[in-house]
Amino acid sequence: MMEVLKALVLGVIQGLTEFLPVSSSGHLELARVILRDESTAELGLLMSVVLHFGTALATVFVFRKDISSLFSRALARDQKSVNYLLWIIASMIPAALVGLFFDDILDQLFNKNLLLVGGMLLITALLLWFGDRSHQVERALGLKSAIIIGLAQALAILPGISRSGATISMALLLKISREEAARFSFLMVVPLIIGKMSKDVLDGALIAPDIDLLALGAGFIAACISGVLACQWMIKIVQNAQLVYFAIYCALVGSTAIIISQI
Amino acid sequence: MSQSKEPRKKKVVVTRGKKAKRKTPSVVRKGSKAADDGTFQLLFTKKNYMWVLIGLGFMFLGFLLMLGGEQSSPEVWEPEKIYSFRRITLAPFLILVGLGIQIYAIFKK
Repeated sequence: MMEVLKALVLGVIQGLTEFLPVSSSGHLELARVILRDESTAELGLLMSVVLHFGTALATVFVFRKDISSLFSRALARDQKSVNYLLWIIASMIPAALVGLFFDDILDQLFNKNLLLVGGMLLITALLLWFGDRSHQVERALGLKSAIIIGLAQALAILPGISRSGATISMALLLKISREEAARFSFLMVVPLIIGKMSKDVLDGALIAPDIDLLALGAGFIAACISGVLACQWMIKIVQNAQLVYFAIYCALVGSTAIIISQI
Repeated sequence: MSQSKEPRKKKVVVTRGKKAKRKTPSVVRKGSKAADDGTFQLLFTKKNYMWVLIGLGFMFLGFLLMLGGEQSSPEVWEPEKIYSFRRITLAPFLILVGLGIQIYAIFKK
C-alpha cells in the first residue's frame, strides 16, 4: 500500500511539474530523497517512463483541437500548418541529438545529485525572471526562433532546468506572444516524449523483476489527471505574466537543495 | 366628451415556483440538439471511454507480461529467462499499442 501512495505522490508531482516551470526531473529527484524511495534503478526508470506517458497523454488531451486542426490543415496543404509542423520537427533536433549522444553522462547526472539540481534550479529562476519581464513586441514564430527554442529545450535535459520554463522564457525573450510561446512549448515536446519513452520501452531497459502493477497504474492516472490541470493552469499563468512567482519559488528550492547537499 | 371607459383589465401575475425558474442542467452528449442550449456537455462519448479502457487493458497486459524473470538462486545466471521474447519484445510492444490506442481515443469523434 505504501508503494501505491508513493506512486500517487510521484505521479501528482510529475503531472504538476512537467507543465509548471519548476523542473519535473529536479522535483522527482527531490521527492525520491524525501520519500526515501529506495527502489532499484530499473524500477525507477520504469516508473519514470510510465509517469511520462501520463503527462504526454495529458498534453495531447489539452491540445487535441490544435493537433487535430494542425494535421488536417497540413494534409490539405495549408502552408502555415506545414511550416508549423516543420518548426516543431526542427525544434526537436537539438534535444534529440543531446539525448542520443550524451545519454550515459546524463544518466549519471540524474543520480540524486542535489548540488547540481539546486544550481540548475537557480538558472531556471533567472530564465523565468528575465523571460517574464521581457518587453512584448509579438513577433511571429519562424524557423530560426524554433531552433533557438529547441536549444533551450536541449539545455533543459539537465536535472533542475525546467523544460517548459526554459522554452517559454526563451520564446518570450525572442518577443513571441505569450499565448504562442506556451502553445509551441507544449506541442514541441509531445513527439519528443513519446519518442524517448518508446525508445526506452523498445530498448528492453524496462525489465524490473518485481513490478508493482497497482503502483504503476496509480502513478500513471495521477500523472495524467494532474497533468491536464497543470497544463491548463500554466497556459493562464503565461498569459497573465505570473512566471515571476515561479522564479522566486525555483530560487528558494534551489538554494535549499544546495544548503542540504552541503550538510 | 363621452368617452366609453373600457373595463379595467385585471393584471394577472403568474408566479413560478423556484423549481420552475431554474432549469436543472442535464448531462448532454456533445453534438446533440440540446448541447447548444448551454447545458452541461460530456467531453467524450461512450465510445471514447470504451477505447480508453481498451488502451488501458493493453498497457496492463503489457506490464503483466513483463513480470517474472527472477533467478532461482543468486549464483545462477539465465539470460534467456531475463531477456525472454515475452519480456523484452512482446510486453513493450503491447504497452506502446496501448498508448497508441489512448491517443486514438482522445481524437476519435
